[in-house]
Formats: sequence, C-alpha cells, structure tokens
Amino acid sequence: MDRLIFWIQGYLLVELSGYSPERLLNLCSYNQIELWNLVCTGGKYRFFVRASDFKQMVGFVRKSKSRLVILEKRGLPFFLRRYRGRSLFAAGVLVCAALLYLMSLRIWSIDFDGNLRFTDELLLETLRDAGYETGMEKDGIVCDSLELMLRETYPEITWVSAQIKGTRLIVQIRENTGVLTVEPVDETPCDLVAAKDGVITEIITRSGTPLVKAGDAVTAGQVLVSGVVELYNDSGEKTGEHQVRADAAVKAATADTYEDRFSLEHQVKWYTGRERYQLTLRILGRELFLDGNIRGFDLYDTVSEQGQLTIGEDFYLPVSWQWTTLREYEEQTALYSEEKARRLAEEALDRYQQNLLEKGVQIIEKNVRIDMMGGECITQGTFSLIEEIAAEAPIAQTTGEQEE
Amino acid sequence: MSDRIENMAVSLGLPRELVTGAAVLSSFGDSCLFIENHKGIIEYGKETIKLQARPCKIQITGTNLDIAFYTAEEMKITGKITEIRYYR
Repeated sequence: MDRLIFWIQGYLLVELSGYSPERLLNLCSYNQIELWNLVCTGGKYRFFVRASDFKQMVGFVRKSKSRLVILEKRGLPFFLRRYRGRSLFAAGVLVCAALLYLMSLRIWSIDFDGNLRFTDELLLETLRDAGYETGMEKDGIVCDSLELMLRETYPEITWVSAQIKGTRLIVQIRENTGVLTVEPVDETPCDLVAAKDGVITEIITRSGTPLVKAGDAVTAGQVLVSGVVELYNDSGEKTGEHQVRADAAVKAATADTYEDRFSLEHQVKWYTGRERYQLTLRILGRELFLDGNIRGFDLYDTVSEQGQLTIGEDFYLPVSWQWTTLREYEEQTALYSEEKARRLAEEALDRYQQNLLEKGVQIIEKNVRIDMMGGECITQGTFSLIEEIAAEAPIAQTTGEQEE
Repeated sequence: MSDRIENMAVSLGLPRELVTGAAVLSSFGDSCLFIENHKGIIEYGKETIKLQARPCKIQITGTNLDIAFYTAEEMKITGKITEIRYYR
C-alpha cells in the first residue's frame, strides 16, 4: 500500500557522497523526510526519497558539504511527463473505453436454445416483427412480455425463458411434441368401396351392411359395405331403411407391380481446384465486402463460415464476419458400375417395401428382378400383398323413398 | 534523578520510553532490527552502524547492513547482525 502511494506521488533514487553524509541523513530525519532502502556501497549511499521531499533536501546539501546525484526518477508524475507527447494514444484508450461502454448497453446477439421445430431464422423474424432485434437497447427489452409474445404466437411452444447475459439475449424454448386437437367426427352417411382389385381375405363390419364376404373377388370401385341398413319386422318384411356411416375393416389379397429404372449414366461434380474467396465484414449493421471478386464461375459450390467478435463468452460486439469460399466444379458424365447400380436399385426397393410396411401392408410374396439393359438399370417385379382396401365413398345407390 | 522519574512513570503506568526517551530495540532473529527513539546516525558503513541514542550510543556490527527505512522516530536495519553494543 505504501509503495502504491509512493508511486503515485513519485520518488527518486538518489546517490549521496561527500564529507559527512551522515549529517545529511540526520538533517533529513529531523525534518521529517522519510528515506528508505538506504544502501552503502563503497563510501557512497543510495536511497529512495519522495520527489516532494527532495527539494527540501537540496538546501541541506550545502550545510553537510555533500553531493547528491539523482540516479532514477520513478512514479506516476515522471511517467506522465515522459509520455506527454502521446496524448493521442491516451485519448484513443479513452475513446475505446467509451465505445465499449456504449456498445455494452445494447444487444448484439440473439441466441435460441431448445428449439427443434422452429428455426432460428423464423424465431428471429418473429422477434423482429415485435421490435426485438440486434442493436436495440437493453433497457427496451422486457423479458416477460417477450416470453408472452412468443408463447402466444406459437401455441406449440409451452415454455419460454428470455435472459440478457452481457450483450446477448438468450431465449430458451421448450416445445410441445404433440398438440392434441380433437377432430370433429364426420357423421355423413357413406359407403365403403374397394380402392383396388383383389380377393377379400377378412371383413369385420362395425356399421353398415356388408355386401361381400371373405373369398369374394372384388374390382376397384365395387361397394364392399353399404351405408344403407334395411329394417325388417318380425315376419321378415322390410319395414324401412336408414343410412349410416359404413365402417369396417376389409382386408384383401392384392397384386402390385413394381418398376423402377434409371440410367447408368449420371452427372458427377469434378472440382477444378479453383477457388475464390470473399470476406464480408458486418459492422453496426453495415456490410463491407473485402475482395469482392467472386463472379466468373459458371458452376460452383458456396461454403460460408460466420463468426462474431466477442469479449469473453457473453460480451458480443456489433462486428461479425463471413468468410465465403466458392469452389468451381465441372459436370462430368460417369457410369455406375453394375455392382453399384444393383446396390442403388436394392436400396430403392427396400425403401418401397419399408413404405408399404409402415402403411400396415403385409407382403406375402415378392418376385423382383434387377437387370442391366441398354445402359439402364431396370428393377421389375410383382408383390402379393394383404392390405386394407376399403375407401369411403358417397352412398351410391339411392333406395326408393324412405318410409316413415 | 532519571531513576526517580523512571520509577514514577512506571508507578503511574506510563510507557517508560516516552518519559525517559530511551531507545527501544526489537530484533527479528539476526537479520532485522527495529530501533525507535534514536537521535541520529553517527556513522554508517556496510559493517558498522553507529547511532546516537539515549541514554548511550549504540553500535551495530554485522555484514551487509542496509537501512530499509529511516525516519525521525524509527529506523529498520537489515543484513546479518552479529553484535549490538552500548557505549558512552
């Protein structure tokens, strides 16, 4: 602590020599002049003394017939005097500090966390529409109202927490994975018709009048379950009918053909190795292009890297950059090898089967061939399936007048 | 006379050195020595420091003797101290 005070006041390293240096030392102590780190070297004395006390000491020098030499000047006053020519540098430091402070009053980065369904861009746009954007003052942000706004705009978002950390606005989101909506039940009477040709293997009627039974061959469009229910009295006479919404599980054996063909020729990208770069600086919302010569390629891929200047983890500054690389390529025709073509065809077939299984279709039999013919890979075959074939259709046959 | 004053000060509970102006020496091992109430330096060298004090002079002998600080009331001597001698 004392050292700091000495440094602020300024102090000197002094060498004392002459006839009776002790006398000067005693004069100093009588006059309350503090000396420290007094060292005796070869008949000379070196010590530190405050710069303000030194002027007083000069008067004693003649009295004691000794000689004083200043060896070093240390401390703040001497430091300032030495660098007074660099006032612009000091001004720069001050301006920099002021700018940092001014920038710390604003939001320079908005980050989202926990959003799966909604992209950052969509949420950013929503915030922008509501008046929240990068560059706005921190004081203008009311986290509670921001949270409420997001929850009201997107009902799928069940929980929002916004917080300001440094110059970052961090919005944490929890999404509801499945929103339950009650579908209005359609009560219009209807028939069930066959969606495709096949042989019925199973029919379970929940409402309506079944017109086919297991083992019947049906054609597409044929009515399977009628929405018309006839009413009979005890003597077996028809007394009336009414219409219902036909509902049944009808499974049928159907045949399906599969065909997929693709050319063995295909285009591949061949990178020429020529690349062009562009550096974009974004300062306070203005874009500055450096080395903007990025035209001149016909076909190219673009790869961009972005970054933002930060101090520490949370102090984002309004300076960001984007490094764009354009890689030129030429399109060249290549041929798939037979092995590769076969693998691609099998993958496509697998996807098709997977699709069927996901729809609840049973595959009974499969008969598929993969052939290479005339520069093409052709996959052909038939599937025997058991699938649900009932489709809803308006009641077709109009039955006379309804009896009361 | 001075004995009488000293006795009086002790019976009054006053610090002895305040009344008599006697030097107070406190040392830390043989490497550091505080001296309060000194009256000035008579001689200062690397091996010997002679001080004016009450009631008698003090001679400090050793090697590499430095004065860490020196004010009107107190001083601190560092170095390897081998002897402290009081003489008239």
